[in-house]
Formats: sequence, structure tokens, C-alpha cells
Amino acid sequence: MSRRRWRSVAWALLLLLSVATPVAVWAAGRAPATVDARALTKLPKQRTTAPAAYPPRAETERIEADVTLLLSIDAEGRVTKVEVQQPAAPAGYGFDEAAVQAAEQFLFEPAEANGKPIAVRVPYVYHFRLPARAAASESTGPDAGPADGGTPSLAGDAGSPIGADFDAGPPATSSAPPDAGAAAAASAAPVTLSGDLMVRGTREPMSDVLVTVFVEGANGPLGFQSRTDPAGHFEFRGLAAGEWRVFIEAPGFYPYRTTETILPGMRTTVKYYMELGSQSPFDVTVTGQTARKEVNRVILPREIIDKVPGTIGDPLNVLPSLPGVARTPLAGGEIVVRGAAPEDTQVLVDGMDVPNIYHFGGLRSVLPIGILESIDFQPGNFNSYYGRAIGGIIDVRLKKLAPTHFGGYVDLSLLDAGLYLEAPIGSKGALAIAARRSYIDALLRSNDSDSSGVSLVTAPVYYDYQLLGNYRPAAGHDLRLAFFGSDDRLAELFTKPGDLALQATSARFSQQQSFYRGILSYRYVPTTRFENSAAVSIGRDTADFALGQVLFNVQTDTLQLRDTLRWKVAPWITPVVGIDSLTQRWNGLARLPALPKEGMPAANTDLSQLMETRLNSVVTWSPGWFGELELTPTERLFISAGVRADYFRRISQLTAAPRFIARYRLTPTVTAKGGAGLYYQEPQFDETDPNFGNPHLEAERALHLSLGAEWKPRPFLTFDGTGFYKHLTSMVSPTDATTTTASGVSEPLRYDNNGVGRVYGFELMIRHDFSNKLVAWLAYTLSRSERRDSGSSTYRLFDFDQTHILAAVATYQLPANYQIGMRYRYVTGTPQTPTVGATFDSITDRYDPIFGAPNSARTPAFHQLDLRVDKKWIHEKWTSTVYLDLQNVYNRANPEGLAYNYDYTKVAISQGLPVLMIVGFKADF
Amino acid sequence: MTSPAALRPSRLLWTVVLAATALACTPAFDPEARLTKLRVLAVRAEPVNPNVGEITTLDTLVYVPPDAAGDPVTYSWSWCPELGDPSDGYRCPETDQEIQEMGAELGVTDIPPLSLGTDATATFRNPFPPAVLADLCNRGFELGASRCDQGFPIRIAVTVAQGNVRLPATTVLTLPVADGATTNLNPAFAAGGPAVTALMNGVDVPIDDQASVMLPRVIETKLHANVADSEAETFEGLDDDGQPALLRERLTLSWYVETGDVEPDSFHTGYFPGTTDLDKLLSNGWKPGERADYPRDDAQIILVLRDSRGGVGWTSGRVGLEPTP
Repeated sequence: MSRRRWRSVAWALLLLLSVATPVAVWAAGRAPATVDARALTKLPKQRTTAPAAYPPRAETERIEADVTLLLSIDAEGRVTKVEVQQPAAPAGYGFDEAAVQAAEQFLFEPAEANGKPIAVRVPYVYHFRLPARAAASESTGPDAGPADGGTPSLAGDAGSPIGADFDAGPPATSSAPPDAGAAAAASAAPVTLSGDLMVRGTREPMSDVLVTVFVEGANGPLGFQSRTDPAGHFEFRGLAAGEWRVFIEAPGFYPYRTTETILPGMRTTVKYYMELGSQSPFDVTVTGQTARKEVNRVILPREIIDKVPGTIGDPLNVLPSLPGVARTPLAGGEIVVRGAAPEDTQVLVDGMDVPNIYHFGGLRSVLPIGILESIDFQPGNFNSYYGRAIGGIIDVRLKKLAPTHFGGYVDLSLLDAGLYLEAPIGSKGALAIAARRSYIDALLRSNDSDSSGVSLVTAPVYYDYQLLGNYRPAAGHDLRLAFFGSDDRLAELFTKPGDLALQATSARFSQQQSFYRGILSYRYVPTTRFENSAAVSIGRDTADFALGQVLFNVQTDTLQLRDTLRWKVAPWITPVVGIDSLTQRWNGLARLPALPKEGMPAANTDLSQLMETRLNSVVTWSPGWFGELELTPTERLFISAGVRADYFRRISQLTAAPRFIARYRLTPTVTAKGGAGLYYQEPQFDETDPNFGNPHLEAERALHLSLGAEWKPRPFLTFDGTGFYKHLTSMVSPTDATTTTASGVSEPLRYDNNGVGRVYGFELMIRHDFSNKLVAWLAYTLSRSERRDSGSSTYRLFDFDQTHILAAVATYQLPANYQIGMRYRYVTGTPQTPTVGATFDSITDRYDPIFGAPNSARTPAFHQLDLRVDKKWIHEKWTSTVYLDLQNVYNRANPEGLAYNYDYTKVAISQGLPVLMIVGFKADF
Repeated sequence: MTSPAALRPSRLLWTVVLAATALACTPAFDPEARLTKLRVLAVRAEPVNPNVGEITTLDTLVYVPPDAAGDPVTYSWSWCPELGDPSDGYRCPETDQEIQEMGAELGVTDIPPLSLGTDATATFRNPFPPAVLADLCNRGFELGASRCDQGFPIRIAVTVAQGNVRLPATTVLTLPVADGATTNLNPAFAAGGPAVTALMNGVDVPIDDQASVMLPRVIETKLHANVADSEAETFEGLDDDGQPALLRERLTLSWYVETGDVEPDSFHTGYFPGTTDLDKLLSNGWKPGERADYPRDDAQIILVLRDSRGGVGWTSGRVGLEPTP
């Protein structure tokens, strides 16, 4: 059979809408009798279907046709008789026979009258359509299947009589089929009833839905039907004056029943809002299954992220619930993946670099849930598309706009308020804007008093803004624009900022951190075998921090270019090549004390010994090139062999990193997988700064190895286990060594590349996708992460080494639009460097701790249960949701670190937040 | 990962600031201002910046609790040309021999031994000509000092012991790097008047050593220290932007009491001339504890005044406490 497939409009509609139009009704189990149309309580719904075979000669000659059938459906839903009411034109191609043959195999849920099943006759129109000759559909990319031809015709048969006949008697052709004459007459008549059909709450238009009207005529009930157009609009012409019953049924929606009065010579205009049978956010998510090409990858769609307990609906707070992600202290804002330092993991937005993903180092994500599509998380062994990271990848995907009408939401929470608006721009474009502002400062101010005894109060003020747009001029062309930014600052609540440090030489205090990015991308998919994605990102990062003489005022301009070309040369081989260039220009002044590094305990900072560096248009450039071969030599085997080359201009080093990934399907439900690859990363900017660090450092390197298996015993259930090992070399490590410059000046080397590390462990992910009203996952990681510092002969624990990390998340849909969720986490305590004494410093009037062996102690384990309840109300034109997020339900005194008294003679566990109840409100319109 | 590193130092500072504001619940310890055990409260050098050949006298302000007043207190003084690392207690990495060898290289003689004795006070004679120290500063970091704009810093250490308790303490002595450099003076409380007064019935009453002022328990009494604005000396230094400028010292005042609490907001606060109010620095409130917690009839109060160039001064007084509650 040709790749050009077809299907009939009626078949598709009945499959999708599960609706048929009653024509003749007779009582179940006995001879047909007259049934009042008003007694009809349920329309027949199609349960199974069978596609009709497209007549070969008609396909060859590209002939299309419609066939109107009359189906007799008994009280058990079986098709007992199929008659051709309106044969295909032109005749002789076999359309009628094909339609009858298919319809005889249908099964229905029977129609009901007064709650009892009854037999009915329904007209059924088969539209035989050929797919368009144009190749690619807009949404089809190389990962998707071939274009699905035979797009269903959406032509509505507005106001066509359906020949309802409720007379007693044998099912026969006594009902009048819609014939050309009747249709012509109907279209000539004036519109007497018109309306719009929309989803209750969201006002999304409902297209391709049959609207049926009946009236008691002189010869029995007479019915007409109209199909809504893409805008949800329907019309009836020439309806006689009187009371008309309106029936609307659509799959997934509650049936809609009403009565309209048609007045002589008047046009009645209505708006109907149909309510979804289930308000589960997951119902509306239809995700295409794409071939897996990674060893480990978790994609969390917005609908799941939004409802995870304990996150206050914040998208990135869900990350610690994923396998391989360690828990970092409260407000740490650091993401530790598979035992890698936070700076080793790249957080991207649509594949592009961003400086900061959190407000205030973890308080809130800079991107609200409304503009996100999903979070794509790869803890290791990522392919060559990604570079400049030796840890993991978190790629935040922005929403693909497809609004059908103007809408949005208002979101109020304990921390902030946000607004999101979106609207279609013509038929080919869409635009969305969003903004959010915190009001913690106002709350704290209202609570601030002289009697509080608090010498300083921080009031985080943050706001962020986003603009998204897309334009699809034609099939295969997709142009997208994203502009977003964030600003963080502390309100002037420091009454005496100089008191933050006795060494501060003035009371100067300022702080602000902001950035913006504009990303323009263009995706071109002329055929299913070829795709090119190009994107350019420009932006500016600004960091301003001043406390007395301490100063960090740096501005960074960023230009990033990406282009990825994918060409499916043959079904079994797809080369992928691309470039990824990141250019940055730095300006500013930094006057800071030595910055603590991983493995160094938090010592007091000596503000009398500051280092200074001035950046005057310092340009760093990191071009990257990548190439990959995606091979499917057999149906069971997938291999990805690639290499990534990066040039780090700042350290003048070119790196080449080969990477391999393989997946082999052992059985239909079991897949073995593995990967091996090299990864490089430039040292941090301060580490190679001539004043702060060592400009002669080399790139850090990591070898990733992983091996595992996936088992999918049910379509909604996946078990995924992976063992991993990472070997870290050329790691930047602090050193006491000194170097002598050409002019004979002795300088500390500060850092060298003699650090090494090793990380090994096992991850298990059990995922229950939405099914039976439940979405859930369990993530467990067993791991050990160690480092050996420069000059040391022994390994020590990594700062965030956590032996056991367990997260169990579940969300369940309850009746009446309630939803309940829970998250439980258990995490081994975090390594700590104990303090064994202290020295009183008379200059700073404080005690400087003396440390024991690095990371030789641990805090107690963390465990916490969070609950969340959502209640949604469906209003006619909008919806409202109130959620209650209850964190730390059993009030566990969780450790966040060690706290010492002023002279370090007493130590206690610094505890996290107690039981906390957060209420939020969201209105979608 | 390149770009995030750009903001990393700033994020780090943010984290420090946020952590300082109790995002997590920290346990309650005895306040630093309450004197309950042997404490070293200050280490002082007089003069603050000894010129070459000049001798500076080093002493300490040690608080000894009344119940241990009879036990002997011992001292052990030392110095080190390197500032050292706080994480190992500022251990001096140099030996006497190495110091002498270094001195010989620099042409400096009469370098004192690293140990400065075991008396309650010690002396240090500055053997380093300013030019030698300036040269060391220019040569970089080999002695651990990266900024010499106020002089060449060396480490002074003292260990105060009583019984089994050993309290290491330290200060930094800044040696002149230029001939004729203006030296700093230790700040002092107002001469000729009471160092600290208590506001009793609307009148400032001097607090002396005889406990002649009787304070109520559990009720806050307003206190006021007397320090002249001129104690914040003017000097040539680098401003916040690192530019040479004529600056005034910052003063800080620390309050210590044997019972109850002083206002934590004012425990050690700063005075920035021209920016903040000196009177705020000098004002505090003291709420002595109830008899059940502190049965003694009198209590000591100690004030330590510091300037931002290593100068230190202190005063103390004693108050009587009402018998109840």
C-alpha cells in the first residue's frame, strides 16, 4: 500500500467524537415503536471502527468521494444493517462497497431513551480523501514519523437535514437522506440559529463537533445537524419557529442539552460552553512517542511539574525529585547532578546558555510555569549537541504557542504574583507575554519593628518578564522568538549594612543581579528526512554587589549561535552536524576576597586582603563543533556515535570529545542501554583570571560510563535502572604553590589542574505516566562522589556526596475536580568539615574556626513529606484553582547544616523550615 | 560552563548575605555579649604602628569570671611575618632560623625571636626599615600580604590559659612602609569624664568601678558611652573604589555584660563618619537577668572600642543590681 494513507472524515470524527446522530428509534428487544425525541437520553457512541480500504483505481486517479450510509444499530450496539443512502459520485470506483464493508464491522455503545438502551438508525457519511501531495507537516521533524496524509476534511454539513424519523415501523429508508436538493434549499434559507461552541472555562473553540437540533413536527420529530467549524461556529438555516431541543456530545465532555426558541423571522444567536468530563491537566497532554536516543533522559511536561507537592508550582523545584540529583541546603540554589559540582551542570533554555535560572540563588525560578513546555534532564552521557559541561544537562524548553483565542492566567502565591497572556496573531502566528513580581519585601516591611531585635532584614525583591512569539509562514517553516529576563535585588532593609562585616570600611551597600536574553530561532523542515535548526541568542548579564570595599560589578554581553543540521540519508543512518559558538564580552571591576572552592569549609572572610581585577572589554570565545551518526542497523539496535570539538579561547585549548550511546531492544518491553564519552569544561572565569587565579589552567575533563536497562511492562509504566561511573581528571584545585613571574615577582599559583575525582553509583526510576487517574514516579540514587585535591594522596568526600537519595512523587485525580499529591524524600546527610577549635581575632572581633579533616562528618539524614491539594472550579469563561501546599507535614527538624556559637565551642544542627502551609490561587481565562 | 561563572562570585555573596539572615532556623546559644567564662576580648599594641626601631607594647583584655578570679592566668606571645591561615589557627610556617636567614637576605638585623615571652604584656621591636617592607610588598605575595596600603601586616599571637582552658587570640600589627608615615592612635573613651553612663530617672549617671549605680533586673536601662568624634582619625588611604583619598576611620563598639542582655542590634555596631550617627554607636540598653539566673549583687560591664586601622581601647565599670526579681 502506498505510504499515502487515507481515512474518511466520518470515521475520524466518529472515532474522535464518539457520536452518531439518531435517526430512527425503536425500543430495545421488541418491535420498533415510536419514541419521543425528547426521551432520548444518550446518543450512540462508536466503540470500534474499521478503516475502509481506498479503492485502488480511485487512488491512482486521485478521485475523492463521499458515501452516505444509514446504519441500523441494535440495542446492544451492533450494526445490524448498512444501507447506502447517498452513493458516491462518481460511481463505479467501489467507494460504496468499501464503505459498507467497513461500517459492518463497527461497534457502538447503544443509544438510550430514559436510561434504557434502544435501537436506532443513524446516517453515517464516509469521506474518502487522499493526502495532499505536499510533503512535510509543520510539526513533523526527523524524530517523528512520516507525514500522515489524508488530513480529515473539516467541511461541516451545516444545517443539513438528518432525516430524523421516529415513526414506528421497521427500520427502513423512510427517513429522508440529505440530498443535494435539500442541502441547496437549506443553504439558501436564512440563518435562524447560529452559535459558538467552546470549552467551558478555557473558551477554546470546539471544532468538528456535531450539533443536533430536533423539533416535534407534524409527522414526528424532525432533526437537523450542523458541524462546528475550526472556530467552533455553527449555523442552522430555515428552522421553523418553535422550541428546538439541542443535543451536543463530544468525547471527554459532559453531554450538553438545552432548548432554544426560534422566533419567526428572527435569528437566534447562542454560545454554548461544554465542560470536560475530567479536569486532569494530564488529559490534555498528548505526547508523541519519539525514539529514545539517550542513556538517561527525563522529560517532565509542564502539567506534571505544575502539580508536584512541595514545589509551590515552581518548575525547577522539581529537579531534586529526579534520579541523580542531590539535595542542596535551603536556598542554596545549586543543582548537583551525579556528584558533580553545581558549576559542572549546564542549565539551558531552549539549548541556549543562561547565567542564572533561579532568583536569589534558589528562591524561585526565573521562568514561570506558564511559559514552559517541559524540562529535559540528562544526568550524564549526553550527546554531542551539548558541551562545555562535565556534569549533567538541564534544558528548559519554552512553550510552543498554539493559542486559539486570547487567554492567560493570573497566579498569586505567598511569594509573588504573575500574569500571563497569550493570543493568536492571524492564522500563522501567536504571541505571549508574562511578568511576575515578588512582594516579600512588603510583607517583611510590615512586620519590621524596632522591637524585633533584628539588626538587619533582607527583603528579596525580584521580578521577571517573558515574551514569546512564533510565526509559521508555511508548512515546514517555524520561526520563534523568546525574550526573557530577570532582576533580583535586596530592598533597603539593611539598617546598618556595615555591620555585616566589621572590616567593612564604609556603609556602602548595593546589590542587584539581572540578565536578559533574546533568542531567535528558525526551524526548517522541508521533508521528513531533512531538518535545519538555527538559533541566535543575545543578552546581557549584570551583577552588582558592593559592601564597603568589597565590590563585584561586572557586565557580560553574550552572543551565542547554534545551527544543527539533520539529514536522514537512509532509514538506518542519520548524520547530524552542527556548530555551537558562545562569545562573551566582559566589562567591570571585581574586588573580592579569595573565593571558597568546593571542599573548602566556610571560613571567615578577611576583607583586608582583597584581590582586584578590572575587565575592559575582555572577549572570550568558545566555538564548538559537533557531529554525530545515528545508526539503526537493525530494528532493535540504535547507536549514536559522535564527537564534539570545543575551542576555549580563554585558555587557548582545543578539545575533542568522542561519545557513544547504544540502545538494544532485547524484547518488546526490555531495552538494554549504555554509553561512554568524554566531556570537557573550561575553568571558571575567576580561576583563570590573572589576579584571582591561574591563567595557565587547562580544561577539566570527565569520562562518563553508564550501563543500564529499561523495562516497560505496561504502556504507562517504566522501570529504568542505570549504573554509572565518572572519572574526573585535570580538575582545578587550590594549591599553596607559588610561581615567579618574568619580572621576578613571587605570586601564588592559587590553582592547578592536579585535582582528580571519581563518582560511581546506581539510579533507579520507576515511572507511572498518567493512567487510572494517577501519575507517579519513584527515583532512587545510590552513589559516592570523591575528590583528591592537589597535593593530597587521599580521596575525600565531595561536598554534596549523598549516599542515598530517594524521592517518591504521586498525584491522583479525585472527583469534583480535586487533585491530591504527595512527595516524600529521604536523603543521606551532607558531608561537613568539623570545627576543632577557634582563634579570637582582635581586629575583626570574631573567632576564626580551625577545621578538622575535610568533609569527615555528616549531618543527619533529611526526610520530609509534602502534600498538595488542588481544587479547580470551572466557570463559563474561565477557571479558578486554589491549591494548598503543605510542606514538611510531620514537622521533621531537618538539618540544613551545622551552626556554631560565637566561639565555636558549641555546635548544633541548623534546622530547615518547620511545617509550612502555602496557599496559592490561579485564575485561567 | 562559561556564562554562569560570570555571576558566580555575586551569587556567592548573595548566599552569604541570605544565610546571615536566618533563612534556616538556627539554635539559640548564649549571646556573645554575655560574659560567663574566660574570654579574650581584645589584643592591643601601643603604639599601633611602631616605626623601625620602635618598641610596641602588647597587652590583652581578658575577662576572668569571678569564681575563677583566684586561679592564675598565663600568657604566651609570639609573632610571625606571615599572616597565616585561619583554618589552622594562624600557625606560623617559619622557624626562628628561617626568619633570621630571611633577615640576613634582606639586610635586616636584630629580628626578634618568634616567641615574645610569657608575661601578661609583651613587647615587639620593629626591626624592618620601611623601604625593605615596601620592597617586599612590591615583590608580591611571598609573605601572604596582598595589600600594603596601610602598611606591612604581621601576625601577633597570644595564648591565654587558665587551668585547662587555652584561648588562642591574635591581632595584626601593621608596620610602616614609608618613612614619616602617619601612625594610628588607639581610640580612647572621653578623657576627663565618665566613660559610660546609665540613664536613671532622666539623668545620665556615671558608671564607676564601685557599683555605685543600682540597676533594676529584667528591665532595660539605657546606657551611653562617651567617645569623641575625633577618635575617628583622618588618614590617607584607598576609598571603596580603590582610589587614594583622605578618609576617616570607622569606629566600632562592642558591649559585654556579666548578666542579661544588651541590645543585639547594638552589640558591636559601626560608626562611619559622615554616613551614620555617632550617637547610635554609643547608645545601648542593658537588661540584667533575674536573680535566679544571676545571684550576684553586682555585675561588670566592659566596652571595647576599635578603629578600622587596628587601634583598640577599652573601659569597664561595675553596677549594683536590685535584689529582685
